[in-house]
Amino acid sequence: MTKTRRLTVLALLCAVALVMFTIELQLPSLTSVPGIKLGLSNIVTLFTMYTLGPGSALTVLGIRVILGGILTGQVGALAYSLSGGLLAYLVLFLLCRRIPVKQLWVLSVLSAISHNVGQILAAVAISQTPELWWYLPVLVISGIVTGAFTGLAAQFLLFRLEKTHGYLFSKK
Amino acid sequence: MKTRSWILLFVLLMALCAGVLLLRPRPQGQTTVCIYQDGQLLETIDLSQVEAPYTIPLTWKGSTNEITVSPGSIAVTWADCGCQTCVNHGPLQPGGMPIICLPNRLVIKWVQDPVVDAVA
Ligand SMILES: [Zn+2]
Repeated sequence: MTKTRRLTVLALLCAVALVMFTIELQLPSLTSVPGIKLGLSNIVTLFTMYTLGPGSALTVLGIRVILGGILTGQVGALAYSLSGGLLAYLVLFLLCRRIPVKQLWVLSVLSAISHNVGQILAAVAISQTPELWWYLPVLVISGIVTGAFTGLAAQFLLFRLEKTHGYLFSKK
Repeated sequence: MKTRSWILLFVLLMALCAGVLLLRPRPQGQTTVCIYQDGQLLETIDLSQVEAPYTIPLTWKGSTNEITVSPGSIAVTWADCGCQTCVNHGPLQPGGMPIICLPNRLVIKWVQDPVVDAVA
């Protein structure tokens, strides 16, 4: 993949992640538990991780979290999404070599759980309300469900694209 | 690890979490609530002493939460925080989780009666 092509793809992926993030925010939240989200833009992070590599995935994630926070006026929530996002990324980064694409959904679940743990960690620290730890079990369950969903979506996408555009992730 | 083992692990983890949720202690009969913003105690209200409903508008860094206090209950009834989890939470349930607005750093929670405990 040429440098220009790579940059274009990366920019496109950032845009897609931002759009997904914004659309998801428009959906009514189903629960009163802070932090439960489908995490659709996570599909893009996973996809980038396996196609362009960890550096690009971090770029997509960082741009989505920061620009997404500013664009949607959620600057107040930036600290929570950043700590969640970074922890989720860390797990992705450490485990992506050990978990094959076939089990991408597993990685996605682990990453979603750590995202929620990171978020709650920030929430407890900032609000100084240890009671919030009681949200952890709910957020672990939701992380498993949403992580499996986004992971399967990314997995499906990767296999489809490998079939049609095989070079996408054979040549990093 | 095999896919089957992962599924088993995740199912067990979910069961464990559900168990913890069911076993969560829910102290009943508390009537005093504390309102915190950005870690500061703003108000302590004994809900059993409230006679008529009133609202408290709280503005922090340009964002507002409107808290409605009525006899025996308290809720965030309006907010411009974006996520709206504080409004969706509804009234603070007996023994229930604190109402929290993460973006506006607002926490409303039960405290042990008597009120003296809240002085810290
Ligand atoms: Zn709120």
